[in-house]
Amino acid sequence: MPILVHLDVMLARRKVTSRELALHVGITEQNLSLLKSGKVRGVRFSTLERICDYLQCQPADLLEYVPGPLTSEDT
Amino acid sequence: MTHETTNHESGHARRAARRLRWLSELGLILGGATLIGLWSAPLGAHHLGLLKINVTGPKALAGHIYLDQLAESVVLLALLYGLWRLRSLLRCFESGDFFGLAPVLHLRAFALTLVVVPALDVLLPPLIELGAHLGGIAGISSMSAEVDGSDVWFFLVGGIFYLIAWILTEARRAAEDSAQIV
Repeated sequence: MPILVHLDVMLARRKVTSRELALHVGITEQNLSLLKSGKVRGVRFSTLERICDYLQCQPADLLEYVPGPLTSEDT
Repeated sequence: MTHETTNHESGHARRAARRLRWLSELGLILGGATLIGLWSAPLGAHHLGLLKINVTGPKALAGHIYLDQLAESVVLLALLYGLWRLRSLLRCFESGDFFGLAPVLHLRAFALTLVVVPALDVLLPPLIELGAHLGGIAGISSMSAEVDGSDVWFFLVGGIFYLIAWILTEARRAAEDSAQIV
Protein backbone atom coordinates (compact mmCIF):
# COMPACT_ATOMS: atom_id res chain seq x y z
CA MET A 1 0.00 0.00 0.00
CA PRO A 2 2.08 3.00 -1.24
CA ILE A 3 -0.24 5.62 0.35
CA LEU A 4 -0.19 5.58 4.14
CA VAL A 5 -2.89 7.32 6.18
CA HIS A 6 -1.73 8.95 9.42
CA LEU A 7 -5.13 10.04 10.60
CA ASP A 8 -4.91 8.11 13.86
CA VAL A 9 -1.61 9.88 14.69
CA MET A 10 -3.14 13.29 14.01
CA LEU A 11 -6.22 12.42 16.08
CA ALA A 12 -3.98 11.48 19.00
CA ARG A 13 -1.90 14.67 18.64
CA ARG A 14 -4.97 16.87 18.65
CA LYS A 15 -6.67 14.77 21.36
CA VAL A 16 -9.76 14.39 19.19
CA THR A 17 -11.92 11.25 19.23
CA SER A 18 -13.02 9.47 16.07
CA ARG A 19 -16.64 10.12 17.05
CA GLU A 20 -16.11 13.92 17.25
CA LEU A 21 -14.31 14.01 13.90
CA ALA A 22 -16.89 11.79 12.20
CA LEU A 23 -19.66 14.10 13.45
CA HIS A 24 -17.86 17.20 12.14
CA VAL A 25 -16.99 15.68 8.77
CA GLY A 26 -20.42 14.13 8.30
CA ILE A 27 -19.35 10.52 7.73
CA THR A 28 -20.03 7.44 9.82
CA GLU A 29 -17.56 6.25 12.46
CA GLN A 30 -17.33 3.02 10.48
CA ASN A 31 -16.19 4.89 7.36
CA LEU A 32 -13.74 6.94 9.40
CA SER A 33 -12.33 3.72 10.82
CA LEU A 34 -11.94 2.35 7.26
CA LEU A 35 -10.19 5.59 6.26
CA LYS A 36 -7.83 5.34 9.26
CA SER A 37 -6.86 1.80 8.28
CA GLY A 38 -6.47 2.80 4.62
CA LYS A 39 -9.16 0.35 3.50
CA VAL A 40 -10.92 2.78 1.14
CA ARG A 41 -10.63 3.34 -2.60
CA GLY A 42 -10.50 7.11 -2.30
CA VAL A 43 -11.14 10.23 -0.26
CA ARG A 44 -13.33 13.10 -1.47
CA PHE A 45 -11.72 16.57 -1.44
CA SER A 46 -14.67 17.78 0.64
CA THR A 47 -13.97 15.08 3.29
CA LEU A 48 -10.26 15.95 3.31
CA GLU A 49 -11.10 19.64 3.59
CA ARG A 50 -13.32 19.07 6.65
CA ILE A 51 -10.78 16.80 8.33
CA CYS A 52 -8.00 19.38 7.79
CA ASP A 53 -10.31 22.13 9.03
CA TYR A 54 -11.18 20.30 12.26
CA LEU A 55 -7.68 19.00 12.99
CA GLN A 56 -5.99 22.23 11.84
CA CYS A 57 -3.52 20.41 9.62
CA GLN A 58 -2.48 19.95 5.98
CA PRO A 59 -3.35 16.97 3.74
CA ALA A 60 0.36 16.06 3.79
CA ASP A 61 0.09 15.58 7.56
CA LEU A 62 -2.51 12.90 6.96
CA LEU A 63 -1.22 11.15 3.84
CA GLU A 64 2.22 9.85 2.94
CA TYR A 65 3.48 8.23 -0.25
CA VAL A 66 5.84 5.30 0.27
CA PRO A 67 7.39 3.89 -2.93
CA GLY A 68 6.40 0.28 -3.44
CA PRO A 69 4.40 -2.04 -5.67
CA LEU A 70 1.38 -0.35 -7.22
CA THR A 71 -2.01 -1.21 -5.76
CA SER A 72 -4.03 -3.11 -8.37
CA GLU A 73 -7.35 -1.47 -9.24
CA ASP A 74 -10.46 -3.66 -9.88
CA THR A 75 -9.46 -6.68 -7.86
CA MET B 1 -43.26 13.39 -0.37
CA THR B 2 -40.52 12.01 -2.62
CA HIS B 3 -40.17 9.04 -0.29
CA GLU B 4 -43.93 8.43 -0.46
CA THR B 5 -43.85 8.64 -4.26
CA THR B 6 -40.94 6.19 -4.37
CA ASN B 7 -42.78 3.79 -2.05
CA HIS B 8 -45.92 4.11 -4.18
CA GLU B 9 -43.97 3.40 -7.38
CA SER B 10 -42.16 0.51 -5.71
CA GLY B 11 -45.51 -0.96 -4.62
CA HIS B 12 -46.82 -0.58 -8.18
CA ALA B 13 -43.74 -2.35 -9.58
CA ARG B 14 -44.12 -5.16 -7.03
CA ARG B 15 -47.75 -5.72 -7.97
CA ALA B 16 -46.87 -5.75 -11.68
CA ALA B 17 -44.04 -8.21 -10.95
CA ARG B 18 -46.49 -10.50 -9.10
CA ARG B 19 -48.92 -10.54 -12.04
CA LEU B 20 -46.07 -11.26 -14.47
CA ARG B 21 -44.84 -14.04 -12.16
CA TRP B 22 -48.27 -15.68 -12.36
CA LEU B 23 -47.96 -15.56 -16.16
CA SER B 24 -44.48 -17.06 -16.06
CA GLU B 25 -45.75 -19.84 -13.75
CA LEU B 26 -48.58 -20.54 -16.19
CA GLY B 27 -45.95 -20.73 -18.94
CA LEU B 28 -43.93 -23.17 -16.83
CA ILE B 29 -46.97 -25.40 -16.27
CA LEU B 30 -47.90 -25.35 -19.97
CA GLY B 31 -44.30 -25.94 -21.03
CA GLY B 32 -43.96 -28.83 -18.59
CA ALA B 33 -47.24 -30.34 -19.79
CA THR B 34 -46.11 -29.98 -23.39
CA LEU B 35 -42.82 -31.72 -22.60
CA ILE B 36 -44.67 -34.62 -20.97
CA GLY B 37 -47.16 -34.71 -23.85
CA LEU B 38 -44.30 -34.70 -26.34
CA TRP B 39 -42.90 -37.95 -24.99
CA SER B 40 -46.19 -39.63 -24.16
CA ALA B 41 -47.64 -39.04 -27.63
CA PRO B 42 -46.14 -38.26 -31.03
CA LEU B 43 -45.85 -34.72 -32.35
CA GLY B 44 -49.09 -33.08 -33.29
CA ALA B 45 -52.10 -31.87 -31.33
CA HIS B 46 -52.23 -32.47 -27.56
CA HIS B 47 -55.41 -31.98 -25.57
CA LEU B 48 -54.86 -30.74 -22.01
CA GLY B 49 -58.36 -30.30 -20.64
CA LEU B 50 -59.78 -27.30 -22.44
CA LEU B 51 -56.44 -26.52 -24.03
CA LYS B 52 -55.20 -27.85 -27.33
CA ILE B 53 -51.47 -27.56 -27.87
CA ASN B 54 -50.12 -28.21 -31.32
CA VAL B 55 -46.48 -29.22 -31.35
CA THR B 56 -44.67 -29.29 -34.66
CA GLY B 57 -41.10 -30.41 -35.09
CA PRO B 58 -38.51 -29.12 -37.55
CA LYS B 59 -39.25 -30.07 -41.15
CA ALA B 60 -35.70 -31.32 -41.56
CA LEU B 61 -36.40 -34.15 -39.11
CA ALA B 62 -39.87 -35.02 -40.41
CA GLY B 63 -40.36 -38.76 -40.48
CA HIS B 64 -37.89 -39.38 -37.63
CA ILE B 65 -40.17 -39.13 -34.61
CA TYR B 66 -37.61 -39.72 -31.86
CA LEU B 67 -35.05 -37.33 -33.37
CA ASP B 68 -37.84 -34.82 -33.81
CA GLN B 69 -38.89 -35.25 -30.17
CA LEU B 70 -35.29 -34.95 -29.03
CA ALA B 71 -34.79 -31.64 -30.86
CA GLU B 72 -38.08 -30.23 -29.56
CA SER B 73 -37.37 -31.40 -25.99
CA VAL B 74 -33.96 -29.70 -25.86
CA VAL B 75 -35.46 -26.41 -27.06
CA LEU B 76 -38.38 -26.77 -24.62
CA LEU B 77 -36.05 -27.51 -21.71
CA ALA B 78 -34.00 -24.40 -22.51
CA LEU B 79 -37.22 -22.39 -22.71
CA LEU B 80 -38.42 -23.80 -19.36
CA TYR B 81 -35.07 -22.92 -17.75
CA GLY B 82 -35.43 -19.37 -19.07
CA LEU B 83 -38.98 -19.15 -17.69
CA TRP B 84 -37.76 -20.45 -14.31
CA ARG B 85 -35.07 -17.74 -14.16
CA LEU B 86 -37.67 -15.14 -15.21
CA ARG B 87 -39.92 -16.34 -12.37
CA SER B 88 -36.98 -16.02 -9.94
CA LEU B 89 -36.27 -12.52 -11.26
CA LEU B 90 -39.89 -11.48 -10.73
CA ARG B 91 -39.83 -12.94 -7.20
CA CYS B 92 -36.82 -10.72 -6.45
CA PHE B 93 -38.76 -7.69 -7.73
CA GLU B 94 -41.76 -8.71 -5.61
CA SER B 95 -39.60 -8.74 -2.48
CA GLY B 96 -38.34 -5.24 -3.32
CA ASP B 97 -34.89 -6.34 -4.53
CA PHE B 98 -34.66 -4.39 -7.80
CA PHE B 99 -30.92 -3.67 -8.14
CA GLY B 100 -29.26 -6.43 -6.09
CA LEU B 101 -26.90 -9.04 -7.46
CA ALA B 102 -29.52 -11.82 -7.58
CA PRO B 103 -31.98 -10.05 -9.98
CA VAL B 104 -29.12 -9.04 -12.28
CA LEU B 105 -27.92 -12.64 -12.46
CA HIS B 106 -31.48 -13.91 -13.10
CA LEU B 107 -31.97 -11.30 -15.85
CA ARG B 108 -28.67 -12.28 -17.45
CA ALA B 109 -29.55 -15.98 -17.40
CA PHE B 110 -33.03 -15.24 -18.84
CA ALA B 111 -31.51 -13.08 -21.59
CA LEU B 112 -28.96 -15.77 -22.38
CA THR B 113 -31.81 -18.28 -22.74
CA LEU B 114 -33.58 -15.95 -25.18
CA VAL B 115 -30.39 -15.94 -27.26
CA VAL B 116 -29.74 -19.68 -26.92
CA VAL B 117 -33.32 -20.88 -27.70
CA PRO B 118 -33.46 -19.54 -31.30
CA ALA B 119 -29.87 -20.64 -31.86
CA LEU B 120 -30.82 -24.17 -30.71
CA ASP B 121 -33.97 -24.03 -32.81
CA VAL B 122 -31.90 -23.29 -35.91
CA LEU B 123 -28.75 -25.30 -35.27
CA LEU B 124 -30.01 -28.38 -33.43
CA PRO B 125 -31.85 -30.12 -36.32
CA PRO B 126 -28.81 -30.08 -38.65
CA LEU B 127 -26.56 -31.18 -35.77
CA ILE B 128 -28.92 -34.05 -34.94
CA GLU B 129 -29.07 -34.90 -38.66
CA LEU B 130 -25.28 -34.97 -38.76
CA GLY B 131 -25.15 -37.16 -35.65
CA ALA B 132 -27.79 -39.48 -37.11
CA HIS B 133 -25.96 -39.63 -40.44
CA LEU B 134 -22.66 -40.46 -38.72
CA GLY B 135 -24.51 -42.98 -36.55
CA GLY B 136 -25.78 -44.67 -39.66
CA ILE B 137 -29.50 -44.00 -39.18
CA ALA B 138 -31.17 -44.77 -42.48
CA GLY B 139 -32.96 -42.06 -44.43
CA ILE B 140 -30.84 -39.09 -43.39
CA SER B 141 -28.35 -38.08 -46.00
CA SER B 142 -28.42 -34.27 -45.93
CA MET B 143 -28.38 -31.38 -43.47
CA SER B 144 -30.70 -28.40 -43.54
CA ALA B 145 -31.46 -25.49 -41.21
CA GLU B 146 -34.58 -23.31 -41.02
CA VAL B 147 -34.56 -19.69 -39.84
CA ASP B 148 -37.80 -17.78 -39.43
CA GLY B 149 -38.66 -14.26 -38.34
CA SER B 150 -39.50 -15.21 -34.76
CA ASP B 151 -36.02 -16.74 -34.29
CA VAL B 152 -34.42 -13.46 -35.36
CA TRP B 153 -36.72 -11.46 -33.03
CA PHE B 154 -36.02 -13.78 -30.09
CA PHE B 155 -32.30 -13.42 -30.74
CA LEU B 156 -32.45 -9.61 -30.95
CA VAL B 157 -34.64 -9.21 -27.85
CA GLY B 158 -32.42 -11.65 -25.93
CA GLY B 159 -29.34 -9.72 -27.03
CA ILE B 160 -30.85 -6.43 -25.83
CA PHE B 161 -31.83 -7.98 -22.47
CA TYR B 162 -28.31 -9.36 -22.12
CA LEU B 163 -26.87 -5.90 -22.85
CA ILE B 164 -29.17 -4.36 -20.20
CA ALA B 165 -28.08 -7.01 -17.67
CA TRP B 166 -24.44 -6.25 -18.47
CA ILE B 167 -25.04 -2.48 -18.03
CA LEU B 168 -26.74 -3.19 -14.67
CA THR B 169 -23.74 -5.27 -13.58
CA GLU B 170 -21.39 -2.42 -14.48
CA ALA B 171 -23.66 0.12 -12.74
CA ARG B 172 -23.63 -2.06 -9.64
CA ARG B 173 -19.84 -2.23 -9.71
CA ALA B 174 -19.65 1.58 -10.08
CA ALA B 175 -22.03 2.00 -7.12
CA GLU B 176 -19.90 -0.36 -5.00
CA ASP B 177 -16.76 1.60 -5.97
CA SER B 178 -18.47 4.85 -5.09
CA ALA B 179 -19.48 3.44 -1.69
CA GLN B 180 -15.79 2.78 -0.98
CA ILE B 181 -14.93 6.46 -1.44
CA VAL B 182 -15.39 8.38 1.80
